[in-house]
This record gives sequence, C-alpha cells and structure tokens, in this order.
Amino acid sequence: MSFLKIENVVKRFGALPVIKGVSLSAEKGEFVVFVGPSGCGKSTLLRLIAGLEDVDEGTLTIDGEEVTHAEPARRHVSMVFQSYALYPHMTVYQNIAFGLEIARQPKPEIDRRVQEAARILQIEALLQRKPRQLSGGQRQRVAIGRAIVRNPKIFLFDEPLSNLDAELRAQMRVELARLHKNLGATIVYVTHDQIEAMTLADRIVVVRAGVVEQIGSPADLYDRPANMFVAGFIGSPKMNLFQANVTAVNAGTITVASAVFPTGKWEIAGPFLRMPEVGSTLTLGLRPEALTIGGGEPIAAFSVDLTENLGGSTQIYGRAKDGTNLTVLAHQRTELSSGDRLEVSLGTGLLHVFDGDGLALRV
Amino acid sequence: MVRKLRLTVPAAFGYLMLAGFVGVSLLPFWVAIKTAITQPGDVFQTASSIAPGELTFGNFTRVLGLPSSVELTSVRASPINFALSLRNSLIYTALTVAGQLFFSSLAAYAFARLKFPGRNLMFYGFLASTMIPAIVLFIPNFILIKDLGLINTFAGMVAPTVLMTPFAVFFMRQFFLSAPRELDEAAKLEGASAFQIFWRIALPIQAGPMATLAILLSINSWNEFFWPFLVGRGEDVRVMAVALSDFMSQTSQRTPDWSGLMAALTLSILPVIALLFVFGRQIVESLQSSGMK
Repeated sequence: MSFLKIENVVKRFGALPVIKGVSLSAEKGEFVVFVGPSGCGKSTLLRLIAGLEDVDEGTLTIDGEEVTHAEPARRHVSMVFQSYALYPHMTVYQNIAFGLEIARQPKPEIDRRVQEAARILQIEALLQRKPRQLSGGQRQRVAIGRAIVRNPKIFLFDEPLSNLDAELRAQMRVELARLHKNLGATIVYVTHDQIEAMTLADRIVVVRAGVVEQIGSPADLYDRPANMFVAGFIGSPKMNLFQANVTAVNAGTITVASAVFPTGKWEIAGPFLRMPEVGSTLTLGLRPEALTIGGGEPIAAFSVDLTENLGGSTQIYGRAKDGTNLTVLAHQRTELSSGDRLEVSLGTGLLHVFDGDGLALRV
Repeated sequence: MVRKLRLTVPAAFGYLMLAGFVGVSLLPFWVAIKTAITQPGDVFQTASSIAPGELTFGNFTRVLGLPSSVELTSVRASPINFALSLRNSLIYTALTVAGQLFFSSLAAYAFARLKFPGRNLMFYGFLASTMIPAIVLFIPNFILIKDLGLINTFAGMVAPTVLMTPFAVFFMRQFFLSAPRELDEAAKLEGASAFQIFWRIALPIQAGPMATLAILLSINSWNEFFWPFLVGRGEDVRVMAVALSDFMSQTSQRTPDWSGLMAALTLSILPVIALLFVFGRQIVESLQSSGMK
C-alpha cells in the first residue's frame, strides 16, 4: 500500500471547486513534485495533505492511517513554506526546538536533535541568531532544519526556492536532492519551476485547473507527454506545436500535410494509440533541442527571425511559410542572420502527435 | 551642499495655521502652569495676563504636603494625600491596562484568526457597542457595582473596563490580521494549540503594538475621572483625577483653590507627558498602521 494516498479529493472555496477529484499516491522515500501554472491548485493540494485546509470530498491516507479530517499535528508532516515562516522573535535554536518543546520532549533530547539538524544543514554557527540576521539561503536552511528535527513521515515543501536568487536556487536544489538521498525522506514538493521539477523529482504530478494532467517520471513526461498541455509545460524552450492535416492513413503510418515540412508533407510511423481519420486536423510537436541543422532528411524549413547566442548554444527563432513560429536550440554557435533560410532535421527524439482534443496519439 | 529652504506663500500660510493650532492647544497648559506658579492671592489679579505674577513654587510644595510652605499661603494645606492618590492611580491604571492588554488581545486574536460561526457578526456588534454613549452605561453599571458591594474598591473601579474595550480589541485585531498567517500555520503543524500559538507566537511578535496600546490605555486610565468619581471616592481608592476635584471647594470661603489645583494638576500630568515624550513617535506610527486615525 502506498505511503501517501489521495483518493478523489475535492476542495471548494465557497462554490468554486479548486481541486476537482484528484487521486494520486507516493511511496515511502519518494520525491514527488507537483508542478503547474500559477493558480492551478498545487499549493492547495499540499495544504490539504498538511491539514491546513479541510477536504470537502475524498480520502487521504498517510502510512496506512486515514487522516482526511485529522488535525495537522496528528498527521506527522512537516512543511517548509515559501516565506519560510520563521518565528521572528525566536533565535534559530528556538525556532528549530519549538515543535519539540510543544511535544514536551526532555531538554537534553531537544538539544541533541537541534544540534544534529544544525550539523546536517551546516548552520551550527547561526543557532543564536534571530531570523532577521540571516540571509535568504540561511533562512531556508533553518526552515528545513525546523522540518527535519521532528522526524516527520512526510516533508511538504511549498515553493521553497522561489524567494532565492538564481545562483542560490541552483545551490539549494542540489542540497535538497542530497538531503533527500541522505535522509531517505518522503517529500512532496510544489513548484512552478519545471527545472526544479525535472531535477528533483522521482515522479512529477502535472496539475492544471485543479485536475491532474499526468503523473510520471521526469523522463516519461518529457518523452511521452500525455497531452498538449504537458507537452508545452515540460521542457525549455517550449515544444514547437503546429497543425497538420491527415491526408492518408495506411497500416501503421499516417501522412500529414503542413507548410512547415519542406516538401509540404510528412509520413509518420506508429505505433499509434488510435488511428486518426483522413481529413482530420492533428497538432504535431517538435522539441527545439531535438532539431538539428542539416543532418538527415529535413523535417522543417523556415526563415530566421532572430538568434540568441547563449554561449555554448544558440536559440534560433524562425517562421515557416505559413507563418508558424518555430524555435530551434542548436548545440553550437551559428552565424545566422535575420531572413536566412534554414532546414532542420529531427535528430534525436520523437515527433509528438496530438489529436483534436489535445491528447497524445503516439507512444 | 546647503539646501535652501524655499518658503512659498501657501507654505508660509500652512505653517502659520499650524503654529496657530499649536498655540491654541498649548494655551490651556500654559494657563495651568502659570496659575500653579502664581501666589494664591494674585491669581485673579494676573488672570487677564499671559505672564505669571510673582513667581512661587510654594503651591507645589503645598500640594505635595511639604511643611515649610504651608504658612506662606492664606489657604489650607493640600486637601489630597498626594502620595496616596498617586499610589491609587498607579494601581487603577496598572489593573485596567494589564487586564485590557491580556483580554483584548485574546479577543482580537480570536476575531482575527479563529474560525467560528457568527464571528464577523459578533465583531461588528462589538464595534457597534462603541456607539453607545458611556453616560448611558454609567447608571446600570453603578447599580450593579453597588449591589455587588464593590463601591470604594479597586475591583469595582476597574470592573467595567478591565476585561476589554472595543478600542483595544479593534486596535490589536488590525495587527493580528496583518501578521503572516504562515507563522500560525507552522506552529499548528508543530502541534501547538490555539492558545499556545497565541501566547508563544502571535502575541510576542506584536510587542510593539502592545507597548503602544499599553501607553494609550495608561493615558486613558490615568485621566479617567467620571467612573472612579462615582464608585471610588474613599480616600483609600481615590485616584488622582478624583482627588483633584477636591480643590474645587478647598479655601475657607469654600471657593476653589485654583493655584493648588493647577499645581496638583501639573504634577499629575507629568507622567503622561513623559510617556508621550518618550513613545510619541511609536504611538503615532502604530495608530497610522492600525488605520484607526
């Protein structure tokens, strides 16, 4: 049985449903990341697990015990807030010790555990400081220290790195991954940053408008997005999506027509989940980093609008004959000017195919 | 670089107006001080003058009960035991302020953070009660205190205000509302009860507003006259404001002892002025951020 199990959970604010029947689970020691655009309900879902919001429908189980309506403290979860929520009038030591004091742990035990948490997070020198005397990264560590000292069943992180600058965020990301490995903790982590999701997660849950769009490993979501939303959301720069008409359907292959293709048409081999009908419109997806300048048979032709030199790579923005925007991430520097014609082939990776409802047709 | 102060006509007019307001506000204080440092016999001769008559500090020594100056005046010695009144005022103020701070904060926290049915209705009802004139409440309160046998006791004097006043509740509620909710939630996740969250997290971080409220309440209680006058006229509980009224019939002709009254008044407002002098800026900032003034 799963360590954390959420079944058909519904949450409404007034009459407005914000979580619409979500079901998911996490195994012990797993790092699960909820990702989605702002306002999609991912933080609400986390707060439902914490018990900071009441579940309207459905059930929630942690370590075999149903905790749907249990008090937050009885769920044995720790949460790291986006704002860190450190108690400003207490020292770092008191902040970390607070939960243990409330639980009436003996003083020597509290001291031992606070010191241990401080050692793990390398904040021993900061224990007598107040939160206002700490930098953003140090506050983050203290917030994590406060979470780990209680030895919770599940760690909940609500966009914990979003207040940090880019460099510190990258550093903390590595530290979080290390911490997860060392503690073997079960972590549920909310972010809107897909790099955090891709780098940290064992499994990613993509949420949109209170509904789970797809659950899978980072590689799964990247390679086999279940729908156009996931395809567009995961990966940076965003997947190129353009429309094409089905002109022929043969055994295991379909032929599609679009002005993006140099010859105007392209044959796609299966396997397909469902065969589309001739005459139907599909959406095709090409990842910018999967496209190679030159190489094999060209899949797309376009004129260059703009290039961005990123040092080791170049991002090329262009426009096909019919005006479709295309982006290519070339893994080398290129000397292209606006108006240059360019043909690219599909190097590694798939041509993604979605039907009229935006659902993936190809596995 | 020296910045030149540009005084435009509208600005000058503004400053003039402000100076006028300051003058009007300070005039009564000056009249009180002037009378306090004037010989009792000269009070009426110098009444129309802004300057005091022959300077004396005899009125101060007289009201403080210091013997050497008693003979200097034609009036009797101070009608009040200044030290006892001071003690009573301190006890009265300390009791009301401590009680109101604690209980009002509890109520304010509940109104700001706890979810219970009818919370907003109750709060607005509570606020609406500020519209009832205090004078209307004096009679029922007086009868109640009398029936309870609490006349001339500190318990009776502080009873109507010791639990809370709408002002204190509203003031603290504004600060609890503006505090980050995550702090409460973090403590809740760590197993703290509602009271523990209040006592160990929510209240300590409002130390500044609490201090401001304490000062405001202290000034109010210190100056409170009518209720202590109704229920606390015995010498053992008589507060400064009530004691001062005894000067009104103090001379041998049963006419007011103005110079003694003003000297005692000046002494009695010194603690309030000292509080405002030290904490004035904090009080103004807290009032502004609470949105009350």
